[in-house]
Amino acid sequence: MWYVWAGSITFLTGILIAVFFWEKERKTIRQLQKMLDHAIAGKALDVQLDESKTATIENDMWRYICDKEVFEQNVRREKMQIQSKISDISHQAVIPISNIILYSQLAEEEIRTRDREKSCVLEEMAAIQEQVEKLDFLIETLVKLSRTETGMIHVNKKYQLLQPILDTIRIQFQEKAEKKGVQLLIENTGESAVFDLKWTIEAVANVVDNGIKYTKSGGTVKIHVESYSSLVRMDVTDDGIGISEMEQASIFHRFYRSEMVSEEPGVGIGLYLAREVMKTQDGYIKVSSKIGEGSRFSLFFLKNEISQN
Amino acid sequence: MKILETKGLKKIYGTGETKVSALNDIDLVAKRGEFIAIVGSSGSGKTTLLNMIGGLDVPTDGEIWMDGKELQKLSDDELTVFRRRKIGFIFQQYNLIPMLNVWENIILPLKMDGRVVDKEYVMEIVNILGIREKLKNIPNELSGGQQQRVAIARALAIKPTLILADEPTGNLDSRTSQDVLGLLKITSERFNQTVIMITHNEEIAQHADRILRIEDGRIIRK
Repeated sequence: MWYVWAGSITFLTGILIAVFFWEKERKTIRQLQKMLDHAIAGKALDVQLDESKTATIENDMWRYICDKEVFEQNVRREKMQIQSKISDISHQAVIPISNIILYSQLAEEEIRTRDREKSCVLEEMAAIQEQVEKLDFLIETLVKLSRTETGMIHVNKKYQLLQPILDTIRIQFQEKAEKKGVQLLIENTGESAVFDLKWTIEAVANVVDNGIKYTKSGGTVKIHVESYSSLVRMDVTDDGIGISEMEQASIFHRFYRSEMVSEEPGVGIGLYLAREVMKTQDGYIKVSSKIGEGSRFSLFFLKNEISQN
Repeated sequence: MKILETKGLKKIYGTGETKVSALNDIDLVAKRGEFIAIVGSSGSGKTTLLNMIGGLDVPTDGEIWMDGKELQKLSDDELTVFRRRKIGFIFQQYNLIPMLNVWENIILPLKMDGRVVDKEYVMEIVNILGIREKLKNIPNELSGGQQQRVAIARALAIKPTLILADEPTGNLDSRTSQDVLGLLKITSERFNQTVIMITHNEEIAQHADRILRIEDGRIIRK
């Protein structure tokens, strides 16, 4: 008889253990369900800090929700900024267009009646050209603006020499610098890094353009490349007006314009674009500067390609 | 989105005549994804501040809120879990475990939490930091710069809410410092990580999005 007893006890214990684990699993699932319901309702999760498995899942879930919310906030803010900027540019565009129409009508009339001197027509032509230039600037801004839309920067990263960037910059800015009486010194380099050539040229060009713009005649803008063990650093140094410490973080924000340079044309996209480009190709840009002494923008590039496995 | 907020944080050592206040009314807010540098001379209170944010020290007065929790309200056990899960520490002395190889060091905090290692994610970090070839080595076989890169990988591996770095380049020469800090910056941006770093080195601080100066236990904004 004893084996019947032993058998039934083992059987009952087995059932009890099964029920225990089944209950435990149901509890875990209920907790997960509750967590998801909270997340869907947009309620804050009360993340428990204990050693249970559900607590670690809760923690990860919370992290995911927060990341997503930050991303959405950024997208919303960007959208609003873009909208206000586009309406601003559209309004600005109305004036040169109506001016161009007016001046060209005047010129037409004067040519037709021929009772006025030629110089008047020339004056109007000059006025038209001035207005067209304004329009050109606005359109260029719109083009740049469209590039800064989230996800517009598609980089094609590869390991390559940095020198072609410098060559392009030299060709692009030599004349502009000379015109302004600013010396552009570019030190050649044999270094290589991982970057997208087209976008990086645009990024460096924006930085150099600023350097020349905000440096007085007689000053210099220098480009120097230095290599570390896993990074390459490109410094663009000027001895221009400099940037106050307060402003140094803001200059990379979209549409930020310093009070000090409000009379210069610009919309505050160049450095933002430079930062976005560097970020997309896993590098970054930083600035160090002192008012009255000049600024140094450093672009950091990774030396190694990040393989995906 | 606020990730960290301190309200009227105070730390006073001693009483009566020997009373020294190390921190005075510190109000600090860090947003998700920010890279903040706290600079100040030695004795200015910056390490005290960092230790309190990391739950390693208790303030005399004031509140610290992180990720919706008030640190002072947590029990010791909860605080331990909180630190392990939400804060990645990077120290001047690297603090790697000498008996474990690089890979084991990196995934140690995950293992302690009983979590499955997201191998793809950790390998991505390892690749950016350039320590892929060193995974089987033990810390002593690495240079200072490499050891600190392992420490960065370890801090990132747990996907923490906040990374706290205490003079991360204090033991490195200036060229290696640039390199290591550049990598910290690149990885924190790529993985949308919030970093608070203390340093006395201006050049290093300039890598941050925002620099806070602390003097005599007070934050002075310029």
